[in-house]
Amino acid sequence: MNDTTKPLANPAHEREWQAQERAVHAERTHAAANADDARSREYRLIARALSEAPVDALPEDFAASVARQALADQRMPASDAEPFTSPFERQLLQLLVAVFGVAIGAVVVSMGGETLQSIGSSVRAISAYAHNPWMLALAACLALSAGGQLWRPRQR
Amino acid sequence: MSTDRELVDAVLAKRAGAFERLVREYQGLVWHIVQRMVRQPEDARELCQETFLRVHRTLHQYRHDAALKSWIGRVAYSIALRHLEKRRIEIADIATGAEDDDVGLLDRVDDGFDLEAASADAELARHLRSAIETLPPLQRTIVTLYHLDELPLADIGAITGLAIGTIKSHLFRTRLQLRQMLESRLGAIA
Repeated sequence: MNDTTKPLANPAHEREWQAQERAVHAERTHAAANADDARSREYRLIARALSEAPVDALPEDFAASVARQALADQRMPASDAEPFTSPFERQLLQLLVAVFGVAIGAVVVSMGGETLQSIGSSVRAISAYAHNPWMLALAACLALSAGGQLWRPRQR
Repeated sequence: MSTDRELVDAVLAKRAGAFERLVREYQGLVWHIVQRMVRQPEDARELCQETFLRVHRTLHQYRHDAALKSWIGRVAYSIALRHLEKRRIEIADIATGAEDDDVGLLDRVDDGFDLEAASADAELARHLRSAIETLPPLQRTIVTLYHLDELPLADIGAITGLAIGTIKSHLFRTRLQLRQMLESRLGAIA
């Protein structure tokens, strides 16, 4: 049956293997059992038990159901697909978000006063310019230009 | 192999019903591998579905260098193996794969044992089925692929990634172990 395979290193084991294989062959070809010795009969029983299908089985509509699922997965837009499928990826993402949050907090605590002062002075400078009508006109032009840029792609 | 190629081409061309045909063709093999490895029917069904969804996603990577049966079997085996590893379940009795570590292995069986005098086949078959269920997942899968699916050792090697000699050794020792169990059971009955 598998005569081309390398024999087992122990000759007694190889003889036993050959007896096992003869029993498998006899069982598959439904050979008569009359001439079998005790060893062959035992191995034939074992071969018969091993060739029995499991009691549990897949549902009858398994193939159709899996095919439907595969089609649905294929139609799902990439944006709806789960980007991080393994638990490791999800945990890594959560860890990175937490580290980012802690880093932001540390920056705010260490440099918060300085940053607020800088923002305050910028607001004061902008409000000084806001009283100048030419500056207001420039701001309006920039706003119109930016609005036009945003609107243009939607026309395509 | 040419049928494999036609089937794969049809699935990749998204022809209606092609993937369902592929699932029908190989669901028996996948079920045998996953069910024998995992045993829990609910888990096994989910893993079978996962196997075919992965096959569907990655079929374009199949290069026809092995039979489609072996390629799909390999996917099923990998998924079942990962499932068992996550649950820290041992997949093999290590000693069963090593051929020559037990010279006295054959001493425990008796060639003069009168099987038919001891018990009826039906009862023996029941005990054998119970014994098969208690085998470690890898051994159970190998004997099923060999006896039930009638795959050659080389195909089982392609599915499990094990050397042919290792598979032969697993088969030999598992069947011998079942024979010893059979005889000890019969000895207790007789």
